[in-house]
Amino acid sequence: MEFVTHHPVLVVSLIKIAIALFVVMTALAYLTWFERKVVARIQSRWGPYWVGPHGLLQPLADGIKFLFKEDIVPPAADKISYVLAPFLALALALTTLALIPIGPATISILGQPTQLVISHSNVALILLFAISSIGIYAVVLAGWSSNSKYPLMGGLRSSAQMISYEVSLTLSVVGVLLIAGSFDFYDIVGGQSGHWVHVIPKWHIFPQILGFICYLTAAIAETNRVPFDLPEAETELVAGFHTEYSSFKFAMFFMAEYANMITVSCLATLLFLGGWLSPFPETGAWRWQLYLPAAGLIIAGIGLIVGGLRGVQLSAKLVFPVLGIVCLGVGYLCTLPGVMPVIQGPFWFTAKVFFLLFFYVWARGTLPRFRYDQLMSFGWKFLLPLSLINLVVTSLVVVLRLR
Amino acid sequence: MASVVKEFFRTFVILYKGFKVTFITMFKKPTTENYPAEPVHFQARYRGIHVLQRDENGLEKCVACFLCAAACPANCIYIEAAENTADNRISDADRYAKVYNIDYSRCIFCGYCVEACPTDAITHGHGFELAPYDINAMIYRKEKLLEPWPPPKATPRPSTPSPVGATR
Repeated sequence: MEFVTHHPVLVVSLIKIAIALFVVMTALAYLTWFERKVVARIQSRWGPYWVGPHGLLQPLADGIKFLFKEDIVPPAADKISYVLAPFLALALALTTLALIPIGPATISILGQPTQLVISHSNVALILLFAISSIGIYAVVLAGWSSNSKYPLMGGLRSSAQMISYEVSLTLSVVGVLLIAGSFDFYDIVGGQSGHWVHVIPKWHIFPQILGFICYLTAAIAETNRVPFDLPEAETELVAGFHTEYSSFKFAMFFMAEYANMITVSCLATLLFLGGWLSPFPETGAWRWQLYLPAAGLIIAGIGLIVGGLRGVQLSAKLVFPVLGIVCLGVGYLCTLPGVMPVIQGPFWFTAKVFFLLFFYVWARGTLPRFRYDQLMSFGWKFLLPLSLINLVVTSLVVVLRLR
Repeated sequence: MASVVKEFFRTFVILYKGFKVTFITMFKKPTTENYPAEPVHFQARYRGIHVLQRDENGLEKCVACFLCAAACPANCIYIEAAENTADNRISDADRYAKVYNIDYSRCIFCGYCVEACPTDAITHGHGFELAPYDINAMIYRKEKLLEPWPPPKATPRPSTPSPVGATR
């Protein structure tokens, strides 16, 4: 207790980290479930169905499977870098999330006022890019330390791809930076408040639509997702840089990929989609929007109860109504005057991130994979010029408006 | 330059079309059968485990003509014929099949036996759960293949056309 009173900032940070880690890990696990379900539906299948009601325990089963598999280290591998690589990948992927603010509100933990971000930095964007670009080292290390031909070539291929697309990724963001004039996420999102002609929110996506397209494409390539998932390309190549990895080390690469997905979606939300800002004007006539989080939770709760009771499996009949009642309870909490203003930011932020993640999965179910030369020529000959054009036009407009 | 711009916008049209297709498919009922949680929907023509039919009097339709056994490319039908007598009338004709075995470890479900049968005695049912632990259990005897008599009430054979097939 003495420790808590003497180091309030440290303790509050640790609490925030614990909460964020729990939320992100759960989100990672259920992102895999969500992805499998959505892709299955796109392909007219059911997806995971048998582990728990509607396969809801599938991520847990997968995790247990990964944990209990034999952890093989190839005898010729460079042991230190071989073990280090997956840790590096996951640690860096999770670290970037510490810089992502999810709401404007200031809450109080243990009497200590604190923001809804683990680490508030005024150069957060640069820091985020710096950390996430170290992630390439994990790929290179994994490919090289396995001491095998396929991982080495896979690692080279992936690192070439990630470095190429990082250029476009960073350049596409610069347009937003020129408009916002700050690296701080709070300033960037704050600059997006307000509306044009009372309806269109002043999000950067509208003036920066080209930048947004570039960012989204480069982000998909950067996180090695379909249609740019050449590092894995499970249908035509061996697994690429993580060919020699098994058990939980493989799971860590897997989790890092999904964590990166969440990070770039968060970043896109903050930079282009107005972060935690509501799309509706904050005038009296639009006051009902404050009840949207509660309404969403209550509808979800009712849906879970009704759907669960109508379900075939006994486990669904038991689990879903309980979850539904929890949803109803949280929904009621969201209408309390103390909670309602705080929950708005995270609600809209999560909704936008969820939409982007859905888009990711949707794209995976829609687009075929690029060939390697197509990937490279697309990155260098199309995406880079496009983001450069966007940058030049944006800077011209910004300069002309300043004068 | 103009062609580049045209290509650029054409790409977006193509992307829009592709994404639309997958989005619409997402809200359709999956084609995959949710077996074994839900019963399987068969096409009426599905060739499953054979059923030996009876006529309206409950007599076996099979007259032990051996045409099915002759037509069988896998040679999996084994029949022993016997004469019907006045006090032991099994089928409507002179002879009946005393033994009628189908070896499902050899049957290829080609349906030639069904086509060959002059009395429509052998037909394809919709049974498919054949897997046993013992290969000898794959030889189905006449007693197992015959339609039950008297016909059980309120259990129609699942010969309704599949809803999946109906929507296509």
